[in-house]
Amino acid sequence: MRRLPVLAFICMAAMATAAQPVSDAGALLRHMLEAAPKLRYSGTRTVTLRAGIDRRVHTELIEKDGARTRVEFPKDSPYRGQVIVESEKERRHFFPEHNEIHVQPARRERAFQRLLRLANGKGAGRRIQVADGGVVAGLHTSVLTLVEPRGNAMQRMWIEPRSGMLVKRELYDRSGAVQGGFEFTQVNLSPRIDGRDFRLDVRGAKIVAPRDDLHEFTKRLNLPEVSLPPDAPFQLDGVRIQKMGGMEVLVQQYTNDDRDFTFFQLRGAIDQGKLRKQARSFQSVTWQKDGVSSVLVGDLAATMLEDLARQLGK
Amino acid sequence: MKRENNMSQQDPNLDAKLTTSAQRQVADTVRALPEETVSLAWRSALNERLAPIAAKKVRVRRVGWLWKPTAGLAMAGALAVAVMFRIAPSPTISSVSVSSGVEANLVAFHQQSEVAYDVAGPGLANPDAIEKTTGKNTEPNWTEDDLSSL
Repeated sequence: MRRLPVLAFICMAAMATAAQPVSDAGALLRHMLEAAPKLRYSGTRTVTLRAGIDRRVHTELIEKDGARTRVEFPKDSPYRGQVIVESEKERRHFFPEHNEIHVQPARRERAFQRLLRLANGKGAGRRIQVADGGVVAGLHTSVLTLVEPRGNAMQRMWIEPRSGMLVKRELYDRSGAVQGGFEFTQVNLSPRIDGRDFRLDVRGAKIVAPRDDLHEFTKRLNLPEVSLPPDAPFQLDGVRIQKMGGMEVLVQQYTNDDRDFTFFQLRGAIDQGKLRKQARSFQSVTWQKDGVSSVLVGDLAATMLEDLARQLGK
Repeated sequence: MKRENNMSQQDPNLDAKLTTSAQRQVADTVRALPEETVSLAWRSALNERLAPIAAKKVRVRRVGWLWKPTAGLAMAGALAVAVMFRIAPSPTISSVSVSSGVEANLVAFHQQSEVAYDVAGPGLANPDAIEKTTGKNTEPNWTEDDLSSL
C-alpha cells in the first residue's frame, strides 16, 4: 500500500511527459517523414484548396496501408462515386460519369520530398518551430511551423507524436492567408483493412493515360503534339485545357519524385519579360514557333529547364 | 606699378628716351589730329539696328519668367518620380496581373497546382476536379495571393 503513492506519482509524471510537445522540431519532422510510408489508418479528412479567390472544400474518406492508399468521397460530395487508389508505382482514378480510369504516376512521395527540401533549406534562413498543437481528430498533437527568413509562417503541420501521423496541415501565402490545407476529423490508427481495397479494376471502364489526353487535346486545339519521351526523368502527370486571359491553353504537368514543372502551349504571343517578372520564385523559358507560344515554368535550375525546353522543341 | 618699377630698373634710360625730340614730334602730331564727332544720322541708324535686338532680349527675359520656373519644376518632378519609383516597392501583383494577362495566369496556375498537389497528396487535387468531374473549364480569377510563393 505504501508503494501506491509512488506508483501514482510515476504514472502522473509519465503522462505529463507524454503530453509535452517534442522539443526537437527536426526530430519530430524526421519521425513524421519516416513514419509516413509505413502508417496504417483509416479516417475522414476535409481538404481546402484555393482556386483564385475561391476556396474549394471537399471531404475524403481515406484508407491507408503503408504505401497504398484508397480515397473515396461521401454520398453528398460532388465527387461521389469517384475512387482513387494509389500504390508505390501508380495512381488510378476512376470517374464513374465517364466510366474511365485515369492512370498517372504516384503522387504520395512528392509532397514529402518537397517538404524535406523546404526543411533542409533551414540554412537559407528558414527555421522550424515546435509547439503544443492541441487535439485534432481526438489525437493530441504537436505542431511544427516552418518559418521563412522574415519570420512569416510558411506552413504548419499538426503531428500525432507517437505514430508520426500528419493529421492537419496548412500552407500559407505571404500575407498569411491559407493557400491550402487538410484536417482529419476522424482517425482510426488500428483499422481492419482488406488488401483488395487497393485494387481498382472496373469492368468496361476505359483506361486513360495522360498521353491519350494529350493526343485528344492537341488535336482539338490544333497544336503540335510535343511531349517528353516516356523514359525521360520527368513523367507526364496530367494534361488539360485551361482558359487563361481569354485564350485556350494546353497544359502538360510533369513530375519526378522531387520536382515539378508545367509546359504550356497556346496560340498567341507571350512576353518573356512579363513572364519573368511574374515568375519571381520560379524559372521560366519561352519560345515561339509557327504562331504557337511554348512556356516552361518550374522550380528547377535554369540550365535544366533550358535542356527540357530543347527536348520539347525549342 | 611694380611692373613699371621693374621696367625702370631694367632700363634706367627709358624716361630719357621718351623725352627725345622724335618722341615729342610724334606726340604733337597725334595731338594735332582733328577730333571727329559721331554724326546723329549714324547714331540713329545704330539705334534702329539695336532696337529689335533689345526688344527680343526683353521678350526672352519676360518669357524666361515663365519657362525657367516651369522647366525647373518639370525637372524636379521628373527627379522625384524617378526617386519614388526606385524606392517604392515593386508594384502589387494584382495590378501586374491585370496588365500582364496570360503571363500572370501561367505562373499562378503552376503555383496553385504545386500547392494543390502538396496538400492533396494521394487525394483529390484541384486539377482533377475541374478536368473530369464537371467538364467545366472556367477562367481562373487569380489574385495577388495566388502569386506569392510558399
